[in-house]
Amino acid sequence: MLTLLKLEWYKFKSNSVINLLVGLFLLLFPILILGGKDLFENVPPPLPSNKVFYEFPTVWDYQGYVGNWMIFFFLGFVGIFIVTSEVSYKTLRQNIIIGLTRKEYFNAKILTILVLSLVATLVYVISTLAIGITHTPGADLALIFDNNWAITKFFLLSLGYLSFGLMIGFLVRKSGIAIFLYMTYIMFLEPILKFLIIGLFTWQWEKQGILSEMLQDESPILNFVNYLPMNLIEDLHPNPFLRLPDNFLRFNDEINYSVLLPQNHAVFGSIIYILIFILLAYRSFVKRDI
Amino acid sequence: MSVLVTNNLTKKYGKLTALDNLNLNIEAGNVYGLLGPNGSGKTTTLGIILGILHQDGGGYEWFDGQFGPKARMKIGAILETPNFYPYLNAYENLRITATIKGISNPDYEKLLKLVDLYERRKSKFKTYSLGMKQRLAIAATLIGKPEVVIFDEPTNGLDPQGIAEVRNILKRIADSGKTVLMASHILDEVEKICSHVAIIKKGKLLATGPVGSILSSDPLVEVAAEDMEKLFDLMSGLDLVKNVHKIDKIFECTIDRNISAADINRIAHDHGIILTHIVGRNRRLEEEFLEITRDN
Repeated sequence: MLTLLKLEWYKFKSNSVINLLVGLFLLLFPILILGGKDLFENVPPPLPSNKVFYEFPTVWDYQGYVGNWMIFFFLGFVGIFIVTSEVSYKTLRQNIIIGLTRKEYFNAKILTILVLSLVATLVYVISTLAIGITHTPGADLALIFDNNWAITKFFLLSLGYLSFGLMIGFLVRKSGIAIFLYMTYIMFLEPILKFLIIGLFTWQWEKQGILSEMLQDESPILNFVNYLPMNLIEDLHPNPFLRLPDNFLRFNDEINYSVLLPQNHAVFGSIIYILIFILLAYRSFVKRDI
Repeated sequence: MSVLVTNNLTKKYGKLTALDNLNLNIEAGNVYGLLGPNGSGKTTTLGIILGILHQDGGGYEWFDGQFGPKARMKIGAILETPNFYPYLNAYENLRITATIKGISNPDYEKLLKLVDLYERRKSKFKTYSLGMKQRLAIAATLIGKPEVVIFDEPTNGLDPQGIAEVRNILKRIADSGKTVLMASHILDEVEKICSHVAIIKKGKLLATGPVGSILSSDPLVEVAAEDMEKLFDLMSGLDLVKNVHKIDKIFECTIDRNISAADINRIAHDHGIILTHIVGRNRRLEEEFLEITRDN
C-alpha cells in the first residue's frame, strides 16, 4: 500500500498542473472566507451580522461551504487529472506492462484520493479552528467542537467530489471531455434534472387537481430529487444561508418539502454514492482494452 | 523451459479478425522474432500477452504459470512507442519503473551509461530525440534483471546511427542469455539477431521455426534452354537443387550453398543441354518473405 502511494507521489509531485491545483487550494481555502468581511458588510436578515461567518459554532458551516466550492473546483480536477493524464501520456499502459496489475493500479488512485481528502479535511480543521478561536471571545472546548459532525462530513464531501471526478476520468478517459462532463453535470445537468422531475410531477398533479394534497402529504417524489448524487453530496456542507428557509419549511405544516436533506441522510447517502462511483470506475477499468 | 505458450489466441475488432487462433511456443534462451507485414497482428499479440488487451478466444501462459498474474514483473517490454512521463527526467522515469518492479536501488548509472543517456539524465523526457527516447525505453526494460525482454519494432523511426546503436544493444542483451521476443517487419534485422522466427500475416501463423530453416538465403540460379521440359526434369532431379520455380521464360532454381552457377552450367552441359540463360545470384530476403506470405 505504501509502495503504491510512493509510486503516485513520484509520478505527480513534479507535475505542474497538480501543483497548481493543490497549491491554489492550500493557499486560498484558509483565507478566502476572510474576504467576507468586506464583501458581506450587510447580511440578509435574520442574520445579525457577518460575525456568524467567523464565530463558533457557525464558522464550521461557513468555512465548510467555502470548502465545498474549493473542492469542487480545485480538488475535483485532480481526481480527473490523475486518471486522464496517464491515459494521454500512455503511462497507464506502461505501468501495466511493467508489472502492475489492474487492481493495484486502481488501488493506487483510490489511495491517492483518500490521502487528498485527509489533507483537505486537515486544512479545514486547522483553518476553522484558527479563524474561530481568533473571532470567538471566551470560546471553550464544548463550544468549539459543537459542530454536528462537520469534520466527518467534510471528509465525505471531499471524497465525494474526488471519487466522482475519478469515475468520470475512468469512464471517459479524455481530459477535455471529462472536465466538461464533470462541470456541466454538477453545475447544470443535475439541477436541471431536479427541476424537470419536479416540474413534470407538479404539472401532472395540477392536471389531476391534487396539487395541494400532494404538497401536504410526505410526497416522496419532491424529496426524491434531493437524493440525486451530487446534490446529496453538496448537502453535507450546503450554503448556510439556505438553512434558514430550510428550518422554516421544516416546521411548516402546509408544505412538506425541505430544501436540504436531513444530515444523517446526507452522510449515509454519500457513503453509498462514493462506493457506487468507485465500483463503476473499477468495473469499467478492469474490462477495458487500454 | 517454456517461457511463453499461446493457445489458439484470437482477437477481433468488430468484424475484423486481428488474431486467428495463434499458437506460439517460446523456449528459454530463444531470440524469437515475430515477423510480419504492418497490420499482421504483431502488436496485438504483444498487447494481449502483456495484459493491455483482452483476447476474445484462446489463452496464453507465461513461465508455465509459475508466477501467476505477477509474471510481468519478470518481463521488460517496449510496446509501440516509448511511454514515459514527459515532465520527468531519465532518472525519475526509471525510478518509477523500479518502484513498480519492487527494486529499491537499481544501478541507474550503469543502466544509463549502457544506453548512452548518462549525460542527459537530468533533462526532461520531452526534450529527448526519438533515438534517446528509444534508448531510455531499452534501459527501462532491463530494470529488475528480467528473464524475458520484449521489443516492438525497436528501430522504427531511427536514423542509421540510431539503428546501429539499438541493434548493438539488442545483440548484447541476446548474447547475455536472456530470452528475447522481438516484433519486426524488417527481415534483415530478424535474420541478424534472431534464433527463431514466427511469420504472421493477417493474424494467422504462416511459419515457425529456427531462422536458418525458414529464412534461408540460399543462392539462386536462373536457367533457360531450348528444351525447357528436359531442363526442368534435369533440375528437379538433382539433389543439390532444392527448388525449381518457373517465372516467365526462365526457371528460378534454389541451389545448395556449396555449389555455384558454374557447377549448374557444367552439369547441364554434361547432360547435353545447352543453356541459353544462366544467372547466379543470392536470394533476396524480401523474396523469401514475400513467398511465404504470398496469398495462396
